[in-house]
Amino acid sequence: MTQTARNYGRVLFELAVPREEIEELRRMYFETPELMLVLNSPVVGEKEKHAVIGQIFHGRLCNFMKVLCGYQSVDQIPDILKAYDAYFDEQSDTLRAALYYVTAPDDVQREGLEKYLGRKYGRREVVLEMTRKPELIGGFVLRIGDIEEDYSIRGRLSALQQKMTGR
Amino acid sequence: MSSISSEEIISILRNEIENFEMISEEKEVGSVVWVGDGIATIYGIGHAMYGEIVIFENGVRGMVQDIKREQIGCVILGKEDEICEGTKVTRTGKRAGIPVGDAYLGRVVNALGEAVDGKGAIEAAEYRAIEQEAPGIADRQSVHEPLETGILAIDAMFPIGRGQRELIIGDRQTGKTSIALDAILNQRGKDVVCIYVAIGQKSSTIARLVHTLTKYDAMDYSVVFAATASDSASLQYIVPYAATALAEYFMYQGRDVLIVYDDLSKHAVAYRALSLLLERSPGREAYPGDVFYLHSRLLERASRLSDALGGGSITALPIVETQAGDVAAYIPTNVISITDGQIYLESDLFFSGMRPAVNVGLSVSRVGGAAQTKAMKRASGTIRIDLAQYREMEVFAQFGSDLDETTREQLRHGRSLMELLKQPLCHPLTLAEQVILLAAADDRAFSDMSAERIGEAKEQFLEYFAAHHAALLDRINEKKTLDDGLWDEIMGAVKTWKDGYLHEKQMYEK
Repeated sequence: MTQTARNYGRVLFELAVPREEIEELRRMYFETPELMLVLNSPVVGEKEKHAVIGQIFHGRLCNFMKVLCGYQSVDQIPDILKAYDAYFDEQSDTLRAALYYVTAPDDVQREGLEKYLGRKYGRREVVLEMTRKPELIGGFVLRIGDIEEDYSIRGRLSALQQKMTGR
Repeated sequence: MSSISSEEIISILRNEIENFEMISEEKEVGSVVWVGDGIATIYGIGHAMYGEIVIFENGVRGMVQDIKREQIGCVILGKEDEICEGTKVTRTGKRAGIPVGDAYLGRVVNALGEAVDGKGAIEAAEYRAIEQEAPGIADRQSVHEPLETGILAIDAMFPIGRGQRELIIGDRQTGKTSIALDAILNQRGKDVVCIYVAIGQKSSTIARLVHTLTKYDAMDYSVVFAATASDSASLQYIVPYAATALAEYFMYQGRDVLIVYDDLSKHAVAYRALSLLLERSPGREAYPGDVFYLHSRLLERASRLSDALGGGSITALPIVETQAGDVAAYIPTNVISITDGQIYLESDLFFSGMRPAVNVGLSVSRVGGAAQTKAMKRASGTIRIDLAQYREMEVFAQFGSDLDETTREQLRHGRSLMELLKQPLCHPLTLAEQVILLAAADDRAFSDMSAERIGEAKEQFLEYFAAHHAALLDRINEKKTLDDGLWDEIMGAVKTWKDGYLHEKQMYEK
């Protein structure tokens, strides 16, 4: 992610564009690559691009896209959206964590986990993205960014293996 | 090795597993996005330090060498076969290091300090980071004690001191390794730990070297680090640093260490491969910009510690191979400027039979006389000047035969000196032997012999002294100084030998 993408992501947040419009942009980017190809093309004139943008986007997002086109940064949209998400979470005091499990936790367990994470990282909201991973054999793995907390059977086995083989 | 029954093994394993405590701690992880040529690019592990060790999912280690905004470039210290896109990587928080200890003496190990000689695991005393800061100014003292190589040409003219860095430079097949090997063999019984670092060499060459060391009982005080040509560039890159970490372990115990890096040109090539793969900008000869620092930080670790720190030393003998005698290439000039002198070996000399093929004119030791015993200083006296005059005169002598007696005498003396400096492989001379040879040469004892006979006469001369003047030799070796009395005694003995033996054999041409 470049600094430019971070800056645009932040601006996008501060423009207070409704969340739905952002999601719409995200969907459009991945579903209609032709549109982005046109907006990114140096062959298409600025006037034509602006006309297209004017028909598809509205309000502040429309202006934002025009600026992106002007600086030929349309290809950075995925990074900009990523930066937007990160900044959004930061501003709304939300922690995004991934939980890999074998047996899904019940509501009480889940609430407990969310509380634990919120306390540990000092965030008010915790969003758990749950993924089932049978190869863990048992237990679960928590992943917050680059930090991983491994409570799975597979993790234990590999730790034991490393200890025994001395590697 | 005592045999262990299978029940015992199982009970040991059971015990280990029962006592295994799983500590779930936070780990910083990332995943491989690209791997190839011994390099892996990792996404994640954002807090990794430069030089930190990371562990791949399959247990292979890597060393962080490149930190970018979103990704980490690291060199793989092992097999990369099982590493693929998505492989999990965990930080260790530790910098690269190797186990060290006295048990390493007599062993052949790889770049990671693991035994490769099939004699089992090595018990380590401690763990040392392979990259260490060199001793500071206050921690050092000047080089004052000689490290005898046993090679007359070197000890007499380019003495190497303990803590010095003396480059051995020359084309391929000029006897660079042999000089280093002779220097190692000569340390027997002198309480010097010798470390030989093979970088990018053939396994067969290393095997032959180990065989020679074993044959001459030199393995007891030696360690061989081997990163062969088949090892990855990353292992070839770290091996000299790892070996120096072991050398420092001995140095800080107050011991003297001799370390031979064979050779640094291959080391630079390995580093160039790594740097290019890590997408660093290539500079002159495609080497990266920090190739000077690569060698300067390594050789700066050679030092003579102050007495307060135990007075140990690391003497470094780096070897650099030149192409067609080109000492002005990038790596040779770099290493020449880093070291405290160089021994320059020449193909022409080598093939004309002058072995060791030391070029007396271009070789130099910047520590010089400070690293010579008084005895050697007195005996070697004017040998360098005599040889320089001889070389100058030799050129003129080719044009005309009408020379005056002084010139002819100079030529004869020079020729005899050149013959005396020839020395067969693996035959280091003791200090006393070198001193009496030089004294005899100073007395022109060999000057009027034909060149072919000098070699034989030299052998006889040494045998004669060993047989009839053993006490005298012992005294020189012990006192390491030559007072007038001792000098006269040597001269007397030389005269007796000259009169008796040589007349008998009628070796004189006159």
